[in-house]
Amino acid sequence: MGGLSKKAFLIKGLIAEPGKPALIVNGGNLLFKTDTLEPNTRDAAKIAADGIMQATRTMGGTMAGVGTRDLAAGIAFLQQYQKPPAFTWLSLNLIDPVTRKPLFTPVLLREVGGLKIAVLAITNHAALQNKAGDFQVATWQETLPNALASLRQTADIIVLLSNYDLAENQAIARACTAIDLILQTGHAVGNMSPLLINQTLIAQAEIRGKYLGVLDIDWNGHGRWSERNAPQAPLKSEQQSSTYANRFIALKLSISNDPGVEALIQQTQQRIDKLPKELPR
Amino acid sequence: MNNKHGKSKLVLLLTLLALVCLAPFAGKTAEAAGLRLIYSNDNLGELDGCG
Repeated sequence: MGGLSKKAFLIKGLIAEPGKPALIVNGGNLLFKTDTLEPNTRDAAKIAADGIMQATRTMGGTMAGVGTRDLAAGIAFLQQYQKPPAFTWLSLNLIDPVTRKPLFTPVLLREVGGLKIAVLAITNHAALQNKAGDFQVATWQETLPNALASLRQTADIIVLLSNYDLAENQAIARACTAIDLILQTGHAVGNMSPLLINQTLIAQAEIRGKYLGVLDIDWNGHGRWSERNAPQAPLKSEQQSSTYANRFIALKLSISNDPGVEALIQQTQQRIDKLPKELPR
Repeated sequence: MNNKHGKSKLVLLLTLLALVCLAPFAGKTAEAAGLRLIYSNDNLGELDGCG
């Protein structure tokens, strides 16, 4: 066993460091491997998803963006884990077809270390299959600009959890300059160090829980970013910019397990093992 | 008269001293606020994925 229990062990250490007020963010596509579940693996996948939710909350996770794959077991399945403020699933553009209201929380405001942080999430409308017809999805162009208009006055930092791919996120960064940081969750392979587009950083950690991203920020207000310890000499005008240092930590086998999360994962695996096996054909 | 003159010299000296002490901070803004963002994405249903 590893993965989530190693992640929990690492997070405990990272949030305990003095002078580093921390926020834990799950970008999205947390729960399922695929967009739809096969009948023969459906129950096991749902039990695993339940274990992941418990583990995520135990390690201090309080929010996640809704990725297309989080909807694999249906809207109702995901909504049972919508328990703010303990845990909030975020999506700006998934809409109830009857009431026309968002099905999940559109924006979450958190205060960390004296900074007001607005976290929004957007689900990839182009990649969604909705066979059940239990939701509608709007495009980012229809929803993001309106949501951002009021946030610039109330939040110090605006973070977008985006389920779109890099090309689309670059378009978002160019069109919506109020966003300070986009965390990408389009299940692309590999860690992606922060990429600066205008005034927005775009970053992504490796898929399948193999790495944890840590972005240390010294915030000086919305505007220019500069990388801390970057090789180029800082210009005078950059004295006002916010600085960042990013690193990815591999969840190696040598990392200790958090005993609480480890026990949760073992219980989850036992629940999966107890499921009736499919009969050979 | 001498006493008044001495006082104004002292005030001038103290002002100069204060300026010398504050000079290194000139042009600097208030201290930046620190934040650590711990992030992950695309766990994709993994219970035990490792790097």
